[in-house]
Amino acid sequence: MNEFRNNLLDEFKDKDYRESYAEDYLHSFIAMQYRAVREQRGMTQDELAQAIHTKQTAISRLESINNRSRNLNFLLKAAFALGCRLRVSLETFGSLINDEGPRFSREMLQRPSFDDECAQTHKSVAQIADSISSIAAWRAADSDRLSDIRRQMQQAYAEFAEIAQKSSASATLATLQTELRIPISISGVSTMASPTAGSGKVIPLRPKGAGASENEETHTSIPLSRAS
Amino acid sequence: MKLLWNFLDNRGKNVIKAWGTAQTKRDRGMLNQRFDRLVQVDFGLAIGSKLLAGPIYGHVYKMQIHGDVQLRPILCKGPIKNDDEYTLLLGAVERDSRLVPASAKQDAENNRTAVLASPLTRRTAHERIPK
Repeated sequence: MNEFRNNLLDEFKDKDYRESYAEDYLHSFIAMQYRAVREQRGMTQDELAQAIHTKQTAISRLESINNRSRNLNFLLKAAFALGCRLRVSLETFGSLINDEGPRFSREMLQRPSFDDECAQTHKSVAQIADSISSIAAWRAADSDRLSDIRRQMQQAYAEFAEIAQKSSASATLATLQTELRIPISISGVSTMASPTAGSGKVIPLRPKGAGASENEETHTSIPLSRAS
Repeated sequence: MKLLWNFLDNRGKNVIKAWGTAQTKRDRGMLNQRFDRLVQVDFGLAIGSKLLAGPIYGHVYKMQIHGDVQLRPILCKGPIKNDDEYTLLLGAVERDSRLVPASAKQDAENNRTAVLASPLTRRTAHERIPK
């Protein structure tokens, strides 16, 4: 593509050459764009001709790059019939080298009709609305997750506080564990081993000074057998 | 983007470049413009917009360029990769609705056959017509 640009840049230094090239390009652009857009609409030359009260041969001439005589009013009518506006604009020669020339293709020539533009705009708005809804839902879910985390932290803190209350019993048990080398667990809190880790009988012990009721599940137990 | 090739005669001469170089400056600008567009659009749009006309004989098409003279470069699709390339076979002009040289269509078809037989030696990548 750079070679294409460099070639044109060099060639365009000659005034007669660049004007001849640009004039022929103009007619190529007009003819091919009207044809590409008409085909994009699925219209025949006859149908376009009927829409602007002319003959099919006039449309054929419109779409011929060899037609050098074009009527602005006719171009405008045909543009409106294709659902487009017509723009006549002065451009630099450089734009032909750097922009239009290299990009020229059927896709570059095609244009959506006004109705398609409206539909596309509605679709875009709907997509944006969907995106906003998704973000809101995500934030709500995120809020739920944060609540869960907060609840878990509160629960962990409560358990920690409960353990702290039993700290004297825990300290005793830890000493026992160290000295006797047996697994000890405090129900509900993982310390040295789980209550099911021991393979022997488990004797529930009431923590010193805890004053827990008979039905309270929280208890300290020591499996009698040594850990293997 | 399609590829564009130039036919080489049996002496290795780029006949399209030689023919184009002999045209006026304005016509050289138009020739290069047409060749630039030819590789950028699909075959259907090229035919529909009359960038190409034909086939005028066998497998060959012509370009119609109303310059200082009626330029008629003659080319074919392919002939090796029909959907991806064109080969410029011959340069002609039209006078009184007749191609000059008169044998241009048949010559172009023969050139295509030569390219098909020896694509490596009978064609080269397109060279722009010098300004």
